[in-house]
Parts: sequence; C-alpha cells; structure tokens
Amino acid sequence: MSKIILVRHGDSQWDKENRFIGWTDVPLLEQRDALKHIGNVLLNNNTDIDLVVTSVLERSVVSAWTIMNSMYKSWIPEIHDWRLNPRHYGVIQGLTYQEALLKYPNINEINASWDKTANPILINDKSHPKYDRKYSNISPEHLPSVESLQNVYERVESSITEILLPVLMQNKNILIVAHRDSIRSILKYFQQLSNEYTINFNIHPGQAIVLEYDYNSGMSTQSVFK
Amino acid sequence: MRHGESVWNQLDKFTGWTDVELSAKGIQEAKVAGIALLENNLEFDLAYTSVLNRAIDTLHHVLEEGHMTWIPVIKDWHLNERHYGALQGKNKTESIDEFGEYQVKVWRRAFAIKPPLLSEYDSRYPANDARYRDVPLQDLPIGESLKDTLDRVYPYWESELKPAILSGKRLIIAAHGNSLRALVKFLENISDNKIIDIEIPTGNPLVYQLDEKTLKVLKKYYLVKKPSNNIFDQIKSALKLK
Repeated sequence: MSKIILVRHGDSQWDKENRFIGWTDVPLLEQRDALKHIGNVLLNNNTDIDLVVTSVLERSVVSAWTIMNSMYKSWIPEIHDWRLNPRHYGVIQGLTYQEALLKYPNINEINASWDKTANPILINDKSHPKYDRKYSNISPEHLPSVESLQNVYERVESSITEILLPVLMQNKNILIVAHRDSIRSILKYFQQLSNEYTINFNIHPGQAIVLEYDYNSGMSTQSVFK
Repeated sequence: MRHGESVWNQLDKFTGWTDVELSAKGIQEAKVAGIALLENNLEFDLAYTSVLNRAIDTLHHVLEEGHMTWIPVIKDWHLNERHYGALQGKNKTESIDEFGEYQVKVWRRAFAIKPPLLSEYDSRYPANDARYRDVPLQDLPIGESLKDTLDRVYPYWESELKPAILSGKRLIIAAHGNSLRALVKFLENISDNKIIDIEIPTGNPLVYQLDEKTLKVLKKYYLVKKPSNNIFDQIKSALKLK
C-alpha cells in the first residue's frame, strides 16, 4: 500500500479577491496557519512521506515548503512539475468573478463543463507561458493559451504515469501540493470519477485528502485529514 | 551561500549533522540575500542544498524572496556540514573542560584529525535517521576531519555539480561552512594547509562567474556589499536605497 496525500495551496491575495488566477504566478500570503496545521496533522499521524510534488507556481511550491517545515521534514525530495499547474483560464485570468461575469455571461457554463474553455489569450500576449522562463524547457506547442478541465486532466495524467506511478509502485508515499483542477484530475484518475463528479468535487484549505492506493489492484480508498 | 545563523550558533554548540533550525536572525539573513539576488537580476537554473534543515530553509527563503521557487531543488547529504562525531551537541566551553583547550583546538583547526567518533548505538548515529536510509552504510560518517569532509564533497562536485555547470546551468548552492570550503577549494585550487584559514561568512551569497569550458574563475564577489548587524541597513543596502 502507498499513500497519496493531496493538499490545495494556501491563499494568495487573488484568492482573497476571488479572482481567476490560473497560471498567473501570484505569491502566497504570509498568513499560512492552515498549511502549518496540515503539517502538524500529518506529523501527528506519523505520516511518512517519501516525495513531495508541486506545480511550478510559487503558491504551490511555498505551500509545500511550509508543510514540510512544520513536519520537520524539509529534507524530503521535491519535484516541481508544470503539468500540475491549475487550469489556464485564458482571457479571464486576473478578473474577479463579478468582472468576468459582466464581460463573459457564459462563465458559469464554462466553469461547470468538462470540455468548454474561456477565450484564449493571444499567442503574442506577453503573459503567454511561452515567454516565461519557467516553461523554457517545454516545447511551445504543449503550452496552453486556455484550457478546459479535460485539457488539465490530460496533462495531469501524463504526470501521473511518468512521475507518480513509478514511485507508488515501490509502496512509497507522495505528498502533492497543487491546485483545485489538478487535484480534481488526480482524484478522477485514481478513483475513476465521472466527469460530472470531478467538476463538482471541492477541496478546502486546511484539508488533506488521503488516498490509500494499492498499486497491484489499482484500487484506492479516500479519507480526509482535517 | 552559507546558511544564516541557527539556534545553536547562539548557544555555541558543535552542530555538525544535528538538524537544528535557523534563528529569527538567520531567517532574516536569508531573506535579505534573496532580495539582493532579485535586485541584482541574478537568475538560476538549478538549486542545490544539503539535507539539513538550516541550509534547506535558507535556500527556501532565498528562492521565495527572489521569486525563483519553481527551479528544481536537489537536496543531497554530500553537501552536509562536517560531521563532528561525539562532539555534536556539546557546548564549546564544555568540550574544553572535558578534553582540554589544546585538544579541542586541534579538532577544530587541524586538517586531517578526526573528532571522537560516534558509536553505532548512539541515537545520533546517522543510519537511525530516515533521511539517510538510501545511503550505503559504509558511506555514512561517524565523525569527520576537515579532510574527510572535502573527500566526501569532491565526488559530488565531480559527478554532479561540475557537469551541471559545464552544461551551461547557473547554480545556487545553499550549504555549510565546511562543505562550502570544499567547493571554494576545488574552484580556486586552494592547498590543504591554506583551506583551514578560509572563512565563508553566513547569509551573504558568494558569486563566482566561471568560464563555461575551463571553469576558470573569471570573477568572484560577495553580493551584499556592506554586511551589517542591523537588518534594516541590510535591507536598504540590498534594495540600493539611501
């Protein structure tokens, strides 16, 4: 048996303002008690962690460091993988929910769908990931201008097969600190969730979802540490 | 970069492989260094650190302040501090009372003399620690001379750091007084009897600009120009404010 522990990053200023953040790299706020709490809970449960995986966005990486530090386990190996990034929200990145709703009345429909996207940002937009040094090793045709939840799932799946499964095969435990839609995708993969269920699944700050996973049968059971 | 002050620096204890935390001052030192990197537009492709909290935490604060948290971070025990054997955890005055001033001085200043070794039944024995579980037992030290530390860092320099630099990568390395001494020795070809006199200050990034092919040192400088005990002065100087 191995464990997959899923945690959503702590709050940034844009989370507080209820903005669509997507791939915008907004820093984590100094108030990190929810993350320290998760670290303490994992420590008190004697949860052994062999690998930490995050996205390449600062709020995810620093959230992981905060948890590891409060577990006195900063030494655990860590991998930052862009495929665990949140959904790219295209032109609505940076807008508050209210602003987005005014400009794009179909926003709720997009959010509640598996394969619909917002409008893409332009390929020569200076905020396009291809201009960001952190994606310079990735071929530009893989870098999104906008994504549906399905697009997120497809790239997360490739991260699962390439990075997670070889580690899980050795009965090791992985802590993943990522974003709402990348975590939803991981849950869908391991728990065979329907698209409908995946869209509606929510993970709350200060909460760790624990999957006990049996590599041989592919079966997993889910519980929540609070 | 050498980690900032730890809680044991204040107590004047032999720390070695003991996993102590940064003091509040140590955290500030790291943050100032991160701001200085950002203000000087220094970019990195890869980060290396030891498996000890005070070095990792230093790196994390530096990368966060420098907004470079996404770069790969590699933590390796070869970059750990010198293992101080059975002296670890002892206060320096206590050690002098127990072993005599001359002996303690020899352990601290001699090149190839080992401190009293740890027994494998000691709770401080590294094999009892999960972070070393993948390290072959015969490689784990129970007390090192400075020479032993250099000998342990050398293969890591050759097999990991040097190839990374030769492939064009810019590295940031957060480590310890003695593992960094080793790197300075390899970079500058410093002799065995001179290396003991090289002191690397804490919390102040030491920048080497190297020739891509020969690794010859083209330029070497400390990033924080006027280190000060006053943290506000340091921040001002890092931000180039008046």
